[in-house]
Amino acid sequence: MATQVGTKPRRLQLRRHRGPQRARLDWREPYLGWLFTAPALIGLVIFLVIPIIAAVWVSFRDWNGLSPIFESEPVGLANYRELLLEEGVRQRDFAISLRNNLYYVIGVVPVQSILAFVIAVILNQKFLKGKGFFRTAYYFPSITSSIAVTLIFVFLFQTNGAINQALPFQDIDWLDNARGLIHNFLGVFGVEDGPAFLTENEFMGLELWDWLAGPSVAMTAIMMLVIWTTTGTLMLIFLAGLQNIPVSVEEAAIVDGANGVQRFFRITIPLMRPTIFFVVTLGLIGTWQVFDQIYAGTAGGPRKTTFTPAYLIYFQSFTNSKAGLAGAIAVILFAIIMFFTWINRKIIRDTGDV
Amino acid sequence: MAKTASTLAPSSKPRETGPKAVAKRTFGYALLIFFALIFIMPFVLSAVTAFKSLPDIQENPVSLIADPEHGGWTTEGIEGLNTSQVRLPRWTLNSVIVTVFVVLLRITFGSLAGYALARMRFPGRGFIFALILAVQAIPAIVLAIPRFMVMRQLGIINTYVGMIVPLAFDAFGIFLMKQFFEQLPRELEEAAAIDGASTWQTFTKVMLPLAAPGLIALTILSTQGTWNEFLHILIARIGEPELATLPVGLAGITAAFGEAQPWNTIVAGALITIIPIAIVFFVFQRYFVQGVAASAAKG
Amino acid sequence: MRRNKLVVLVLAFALIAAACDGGGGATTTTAGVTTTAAPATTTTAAETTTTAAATLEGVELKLWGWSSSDAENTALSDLVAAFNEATGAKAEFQPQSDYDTTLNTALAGGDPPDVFYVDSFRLADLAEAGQLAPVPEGVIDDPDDIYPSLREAFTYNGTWYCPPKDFSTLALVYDPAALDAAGVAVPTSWDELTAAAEALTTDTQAGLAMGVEYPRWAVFLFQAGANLTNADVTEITLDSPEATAALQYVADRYADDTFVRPSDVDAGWAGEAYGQGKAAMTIEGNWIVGYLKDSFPDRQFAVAELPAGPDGKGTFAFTVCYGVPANAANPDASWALVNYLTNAEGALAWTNAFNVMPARVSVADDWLSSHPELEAFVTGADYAHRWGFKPGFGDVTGVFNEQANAIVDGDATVTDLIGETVAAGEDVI
Repeated sequence: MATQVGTKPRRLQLRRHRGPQRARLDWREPYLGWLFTAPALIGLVIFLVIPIIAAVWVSFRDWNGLSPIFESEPVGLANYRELLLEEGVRQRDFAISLRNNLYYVIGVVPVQSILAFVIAVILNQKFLKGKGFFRTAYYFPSITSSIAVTLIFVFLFQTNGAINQALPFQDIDWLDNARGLIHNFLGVFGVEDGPAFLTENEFMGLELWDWLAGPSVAMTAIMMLVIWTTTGTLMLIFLAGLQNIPVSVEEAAIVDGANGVQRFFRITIPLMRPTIFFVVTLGLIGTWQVFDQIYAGTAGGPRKTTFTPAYLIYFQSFTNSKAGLAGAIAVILFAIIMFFTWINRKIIRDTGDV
Repeated sequence: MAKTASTLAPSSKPRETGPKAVAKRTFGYALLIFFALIFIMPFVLSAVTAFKSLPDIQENPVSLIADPEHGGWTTEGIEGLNTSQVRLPRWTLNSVIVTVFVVLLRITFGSLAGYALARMRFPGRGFIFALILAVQAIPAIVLAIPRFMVMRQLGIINTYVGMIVPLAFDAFGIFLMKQFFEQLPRELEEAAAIDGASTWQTFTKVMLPLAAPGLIALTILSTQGTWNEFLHILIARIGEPELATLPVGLAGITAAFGEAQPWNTIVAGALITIIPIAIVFFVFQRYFVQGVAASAAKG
Repeated sequence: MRRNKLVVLVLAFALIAAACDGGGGATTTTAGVTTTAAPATTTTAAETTTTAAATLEGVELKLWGWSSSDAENTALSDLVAAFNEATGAKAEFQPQSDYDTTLNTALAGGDPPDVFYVDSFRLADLAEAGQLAPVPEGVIDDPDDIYPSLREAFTYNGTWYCPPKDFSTLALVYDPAALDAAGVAVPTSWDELTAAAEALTTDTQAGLAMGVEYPRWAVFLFQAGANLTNADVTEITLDSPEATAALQYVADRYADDTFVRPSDVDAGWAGEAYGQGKAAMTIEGNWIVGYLKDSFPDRQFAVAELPAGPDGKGTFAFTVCYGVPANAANPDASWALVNYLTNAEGALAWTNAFNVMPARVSVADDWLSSHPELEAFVTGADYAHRWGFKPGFGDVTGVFNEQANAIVDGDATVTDLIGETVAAGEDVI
């Protein structure tokens, strides 16, 4: 079979042969499919789907999180209106949390994915010595629980802490600085307050100028913390994915004269598509729900610049007695996450058969 | 189409000698080592901090050597963990029990369901996959109370079953195995089918061994995730302090410090949780040898 | 094909239905509670109640609270052990690491502890949700002995819900040596405070360190006769001239650097700033005393009442009580434990070892005799305001805190703060 580097000829050719063999197994597959997924599915339904349905149901009620759920009063779409449409402190807080989380997602997902991929590729090279050591070293940050590692980072990022001591220039008050990075950057050019059309117009109770503030220095510290911790996990997944590529495919490509770079871009990356899709989706799902680090580290401060929707859920649910509102935030967050996942799927064009 | 005079081992570059190549390699290693240090430095620092005295930490947070002026190396950080509430052996035992069972269950359910979603055609498949994604998109904190109510109905609050079973059903594992099964070329199943294997045989004898890297990854990640699981355990053993796992138990101790932050104790607590997983990881990562996939394909 | 999906769904529901039939038990067990008329024959005051006492033999009780220090955990456990010895019950103190999460879950899930801490800030939420049992007649010894302001802190809509376990107030903590060196007397009015703070501010030390948040800044509101809301939290009253004057006073102090925000001097909180010598004075509560003794044993301090404002003295009372859930498994046992912990003996036993104050007037002198230097905290009880609002008010104080920090950063004015907070308050109320 003549092969060409750059296409997936084997797969395509084999598809033509699939007819008779597939037919033989076809009659059993529907039942087997359900049988294989049944145990996991039942568990998911009991412990995940039912609580989710309860959470969604609660979002249409005025529940205080303290008395039994069934004693709450139905309020229709009031919670959603309060969050999205009605001018007020709740809408503004929600807008702030969305803005913060958006910058966070944009900052973290690309960096951690690319970094993890590059490291995994490097660590997969056969000639590399000390693989075990390097893999353990890069994975190490991921081993700790996020709460424990946040405590360690708070300790390191203190104004008189290790990070500042290691920096040659002026100390940065990492966790207390509420200014947005974009604002700081513009400030270098002398732009202190935004142009009138940005400061005077609002979206969801937040000035457009504030929407463009960028992540605050404190949020950036958290972003660094998270990239540092999750890169190891993603590297592990990429490593497994790279190991999954059968040797025969690579060998054939080498026989056909493809060099390293060509092999990387025409064989490795296309074959890694499902894994890449997995890692980016994981990143999106995870970053939109960032909570532990805020809870253990900054509690939403300084000045609400590390407020995230997930933290807002906790606050409204357990501290502020507005668990119905928290449910609504969760539902909206869910929609946002599914939307981003869908876009991700379109971009990466996961060739899985689903 | 010049053939390169290389071995057929994949991912290996021809070992050029000569000063330029050596320099390139040295630079590569230097870069790797530099980043590796950045990744482990916070831990090294923490390990050292756990053995410093508090005034020392205030004065010299970055130094890797304890300052003799402030008492040098001391175990007061570790001793700070020895409060009236501490139950390290019991907590460790609980952690081990919960983690072992959860990981075993997750591997089983994950590979079964993952394979079905990756390879089998059955109605409702798309819906189930969407469900797998969807259930991960809800923050766990909002499910805490409803899930508690479900567990209460099932009567499993404050039991090991209650701590283990809900964690065993985890969409992440299914998603991961599905993606890994999908990456394997179909021709392997074709070959098995031609040889007369049933779906079950294909699954257990061909696909599962091939997906070994994925299984190992899942084992490592599940171990780490379950060992560090906090919210679920907090709720599942809500009235029973004896059932706490290591992270939950230690949180009780560190929470007791209020305004004062004895960093050496806090850091010591964090480190205690890490050690078992570090060991597990180091043991398992050795199995990431590409030869597993190679030998199966030739067979 | 539809059939298969249906089959699975039916299976799932069947499983759940079956489980529901069998499960649903509460996890607390109560050994048979027998009621006898004879009181127990021990000597502790708690047992000499004249009402018919149920014997608590073998009754398991769970007391939930949070930890402030291991010493406090031990002390409370000891006190509970004494109760167990006196009554034969099996009560246990279970400190929680994430109190809000576990308590809410237990209450909403129908599996509450038998007694639990209630911060005055949370009283309204719990009472509105109907999860607290009001204090029944006669179970608490000598209720009039409790400071009125504290009893009021735990009264909602006219119903008294729980007796306080202890309390703290805010006072002025200062460095006597620094004041002497600068030649200033302890300030007793706003003007004197301004002068003192100015005199004490040097290159390396600020006059006064104070957290930038409502639980601190509000004392100045009280001293000016203003408040965030009216007495029963039905109206926002922050937009008054007195409030504006008070807030402007505070803002000005931060503006000319005589007051300082703890994070601006690299401290985690005002107590740490004071301990490190970065401020000569601070406005904090009783807890600073234990903290200083532990972390900064060489730092001298003295305590004085907060300076009076145009309308007199004002401070906050931070207090926690022992609440009994509305659907407690054994209310009599729960209240017996509560009474034991909060009557005169219990209050003194608990607070003597620490720096929180007993909530009862009768033992105040006893406590003072072992903590003479903390008298200013005690007298604060006479004019302390409660720390608590209505459910959902966290949003409003959140806005206040955000704006207050903005003021200190130079990004907002007092008018902004008042405007935003009033708007938020009106949303919530």
